[in-house]
Amino acid sequence: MTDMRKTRRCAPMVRALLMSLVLMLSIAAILPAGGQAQAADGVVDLEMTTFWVGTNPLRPWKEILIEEFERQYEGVYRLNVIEIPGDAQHADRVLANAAAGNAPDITTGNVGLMQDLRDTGLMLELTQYLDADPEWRDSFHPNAFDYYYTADGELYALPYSRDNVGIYYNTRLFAEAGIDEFPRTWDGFFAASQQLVDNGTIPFAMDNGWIFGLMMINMIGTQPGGAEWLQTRNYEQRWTGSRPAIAGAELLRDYIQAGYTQRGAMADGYPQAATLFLQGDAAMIANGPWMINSIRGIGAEAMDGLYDEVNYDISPGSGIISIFGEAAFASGASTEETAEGAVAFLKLATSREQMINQMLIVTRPGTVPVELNEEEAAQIDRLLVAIEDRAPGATYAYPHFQLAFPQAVWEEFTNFLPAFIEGSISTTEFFNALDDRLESYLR
Amino acid sequence: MTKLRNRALSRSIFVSLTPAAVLFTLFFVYPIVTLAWSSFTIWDLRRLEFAGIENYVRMFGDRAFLMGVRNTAIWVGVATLLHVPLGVYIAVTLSKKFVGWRVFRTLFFLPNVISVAAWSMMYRSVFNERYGMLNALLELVGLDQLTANWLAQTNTALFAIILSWFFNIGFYMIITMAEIASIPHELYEAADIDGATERQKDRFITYPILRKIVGTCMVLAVSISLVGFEYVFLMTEGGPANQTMTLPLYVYRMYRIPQYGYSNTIGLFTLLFGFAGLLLIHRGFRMHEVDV
Repeated sequence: MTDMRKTRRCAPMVRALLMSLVLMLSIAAILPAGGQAQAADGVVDLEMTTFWVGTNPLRPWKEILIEEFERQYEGVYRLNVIEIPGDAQHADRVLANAAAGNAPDITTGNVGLMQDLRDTGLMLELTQYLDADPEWRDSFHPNAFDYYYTADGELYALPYSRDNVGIYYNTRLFAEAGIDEFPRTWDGFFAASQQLVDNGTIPFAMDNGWIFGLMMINMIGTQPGGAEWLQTRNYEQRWTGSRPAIAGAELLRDYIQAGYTQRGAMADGYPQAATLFLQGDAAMIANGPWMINSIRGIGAEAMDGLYDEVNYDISPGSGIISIFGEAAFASGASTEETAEGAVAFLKLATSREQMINQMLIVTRPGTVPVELNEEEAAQIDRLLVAIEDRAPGATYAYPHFQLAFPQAVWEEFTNFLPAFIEGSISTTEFFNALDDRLESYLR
Repeated sequence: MTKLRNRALSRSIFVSLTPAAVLFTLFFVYPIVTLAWSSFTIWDLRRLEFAGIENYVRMFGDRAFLMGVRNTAIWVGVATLLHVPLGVYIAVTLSKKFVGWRVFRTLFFLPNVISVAAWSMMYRSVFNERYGMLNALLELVGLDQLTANWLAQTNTALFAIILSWFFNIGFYMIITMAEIASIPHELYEAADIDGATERQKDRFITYPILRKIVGTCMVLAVSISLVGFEYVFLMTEGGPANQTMTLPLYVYRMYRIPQYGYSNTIGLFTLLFGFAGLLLIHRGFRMHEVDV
């Protein structure tokens, strides 16, 4: 009797749960599997995601690209731009959507995001489109796609940038400390840093991440065998036991422990480090040419007259971080129409005109070599010219961290770095942590 | 007639339960089922394959995960054994309504209405080695040798984060004060007649009556500290060397790599970890018993 009552009392709840399941299935059945690419007006809608928003240095170029694309393809394609501030947040969202089977028609990001997107199997293979237009294909620098080709020679992203990442230095602070020229050796670099400290200046502005990573790569890359180790493809290199890696990491640890960076650098982010250099408190900082605008006070607070005091050079030890395609465009277009639209956008973005725009606006050369006429050459920033002139003379050229290793290893690097610098873990323990993460990524 | 009334009652229960049941199934049952089955898979951007207990074997040999378990246990421990008792103690003290008690109540509760992001950023500044308030204070009183790069040193980072979280006690204080306000005043009057001291009244009247609300605060403390992500993410991202890693942060880190299957294994573990903690509190505070 009691059981019967219980059954009766439970019946509405069971029915409610069953009903909810039926409702869920019905909703799932009704929902469309994907968006409509072609709108009623015959214009093909293209979804584009980007993090080039706000103070991002690429935002002005993005606006020109969109404007030009919409002008050229008015009535044919319509760009629906989804702006996601922050490159990490952008990458998270694009990947999460892709994992759910929904990749944007056009997106941009660094090599790590491009590799992850390629792994989803949703991205457009681009060699077929390049081969169909030999003029476009041959316009690129011969090494432009090196970091993007799969073992089978397929291409799922189109790099648009070429960067020589050097070291900016403040000539006034150098002169005040009695330093005549930028040091060419690491011994000279240490000695110059000591002179700057003696003169009451912070020698090098660093953060727990990007800048630190650049300097560690410079210190590894200029060791014997270091550049080759960093250029190893398919993540086959390991940190543990690598002589150049050990020598480079320990050299940098010694540099930080000697007090040649700002106090508390290991807890600082890039903005804090950049501010020290931009305000004339630190004498050096490592970064790419895209920082030139900040030094000029565009989109950042820079000390009056700073630009005139700054020069740009290759690393001590005669090394340069030289990157083809640190960032690229990719397409997850799923229909013929959207694929054609995406390719039209890629062609526009890598056209001669836009490569020059990129050079002028972002102070960054592109993957398509361009011959500049006199008028155009006169507009190129002197700091960009300086690094472009000096880079070919460097003895060693190597990629930066994010090209040499996956994002997972980079995150572990920033995680373990402060402990390594303070000496609470050894070089071996530090490297073991990086290798463990690499192994788990490759698993 | 009764049958008819029962049927009408059943129908109304069914109608009123259905929306909640739909939402419950959609947003609770389904994610947990997904979490559970995917924890037995290798799921990343390239594949989704059944892997048996591989993720679990990996998890218990993963130093970062074990550090996450340790630190999450510390967070839960600090919240339940320090924040809740302190919050209750302050509530009982403020309930005496001495002059200025409202000011103290506001002061203790105020940090709880500030966004965690703003609070974390503020404490990042407080703990900054170069311009932080804490080092400046230590230097001012001549304790220069104690200054540190609080959030970047392995021996101070966890302590610094836990310290920044201290004002959570105001949350438990306010809940407890509401409960104290509902205690019948006659009980205290009777105690006064019997000549009870303030301490005796607290010990024999207030604290025993607060048993269940303390249990509730404990439950809240466990759930808040288990899902607590922002403080650590914004202040240290789990570093240095995983010293401040917590389970929710590690779930996120594995999700970002992206290793969804392994991330969900840790997520399921966190769920069970929290469930065990809640069960313990439920039993410990006899929350299922009805007070007579």
